[in-house]
Amino acid sequence: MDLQQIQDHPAFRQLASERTRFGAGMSVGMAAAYFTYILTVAFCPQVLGLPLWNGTIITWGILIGVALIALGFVMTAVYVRRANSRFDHLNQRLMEEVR
Amino acid sequence: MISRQACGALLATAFALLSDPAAADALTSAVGTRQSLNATAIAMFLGFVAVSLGITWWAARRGTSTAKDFYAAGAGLKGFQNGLAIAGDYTSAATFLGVTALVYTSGYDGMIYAIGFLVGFPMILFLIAEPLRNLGRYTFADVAAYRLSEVPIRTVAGVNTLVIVVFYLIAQMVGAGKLIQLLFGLPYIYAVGIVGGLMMVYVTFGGMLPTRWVQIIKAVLLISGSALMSLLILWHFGFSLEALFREAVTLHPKAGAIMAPGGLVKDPISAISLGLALIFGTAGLPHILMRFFYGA
Repeated sequence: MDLQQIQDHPAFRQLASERTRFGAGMSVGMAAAYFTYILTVAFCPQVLGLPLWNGTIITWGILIGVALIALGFVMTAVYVRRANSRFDHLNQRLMEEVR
Repeated sequence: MISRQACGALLATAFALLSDPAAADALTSAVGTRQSLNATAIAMFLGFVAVSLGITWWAARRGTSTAKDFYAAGAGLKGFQNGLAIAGDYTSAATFLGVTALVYTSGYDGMIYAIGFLVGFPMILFLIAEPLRNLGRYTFADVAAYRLSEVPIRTVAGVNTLVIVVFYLIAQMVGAGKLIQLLFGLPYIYAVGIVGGLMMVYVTFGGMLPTRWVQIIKAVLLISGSALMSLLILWHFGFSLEALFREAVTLHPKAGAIMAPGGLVKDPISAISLGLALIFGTAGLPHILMRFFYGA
C-alpha cells in the first residue's frame, strides 16, 4: 500500500483535519468551563456559597458542580456521536477508495 | 494493580454494608486499633479474591504466549466492555473512596475533586484516546518511540511511569493493607504483603486479560452499588434534596460551611494548582492510558 497516496488523499486530509479541529474545539470548550469554575473557587468562593433562592439550603455551588459533571457527559456523547457517524463514514470512504 | 482495585470494590461493598453513620465512624476509628470480625464482609472479600483468581487461572490456560495476548489482552474487546474496564480503573480506591471521604469530612471541597476527575475523562477522549489506539502498539512508550529516537524516549517514559506508579501505588497499597488489617485483624505488615503477593500472582500468570475482567466486574458492582445506595438515601429523605442537605448541615460539625468551598482549598494558588493537577493529572495516569490499547 502506498502511504504517500493515502496521505495525499482528500478524504484522509479531511478526516485528519476535521478530527483534530473537533477534538481541540471540544477540549477547549470543556477546559474553559472547568477553569472558569476553578477560578471562581480561587477568587470568589463566596459566590458559590449563595443559596439558590431565599430560604433554601442548596447553594449555587452544588448546582454548578452538578452542571459541570452533566456537561462532561453531554460533550462525551456529542463526540461519540460524531466519531461514530462522520469520522467512521470518512474512514470507510477512504478505505474503499485507496484499496 | 488489580487486587488493590479489587480491594477498592470490596471496601465499597463493606461500606455499603456499614452505611449508617455510626458504623462509618466505627470504621474510621478502627484503623489502627482492631475491630471485631465482620463475617459478611470477610465472606464477600474472599469470594471476590476467589473469583478473580479463577479468572486468572482461566486466562493463563487460554494462553498468554504472544506479546499481544499478554499486554493488550488479545486486543479484540468490544467498546462497551473496554468502557467498563476503564470505568473500573478510574474508580480506584482514590477516586471512589477518597472522594467519598473528602465529601464526608470537608463537604463541598470534596466535590471539586469529583468534578476535576470527571472533567479529566472527556479531555482524554478528545485529545489522546484515538491517536493512541490508532497506532496499534502495546504501551505508551511504544507510541512515543514511534516517531522519536528510541533509547532516550524509553528511558524517560520508564522513569516517568515508575515515579507515577510508585506514588500512586503507595497510596493504594496503604488503603488495601488497611482494609485487610481491618477485615482480618492481621498485623499491617502482613496485610500489605498479602495484597502485594496477590497482585503479582494476577499479572504474572494471567497477563492483562484477567485484570480486564476483574475491572469489568468491579465497575458493574461499584456502579450498581452506588446507584442503589443513592436511591435508598434519596428515598429515605422522600426524594427531597432540600431535606437531605438540611439534615447533613444539622449533623455535620462544620454545619453550613459544608455547602460552599473554603474548608480545604483556602487560597487562590492552591485552588488553581489543584484544578490543574486534577484535570491533567488524570490524563497522565499510566493505568488509564494503557486501557486505550485494548479496543477492538
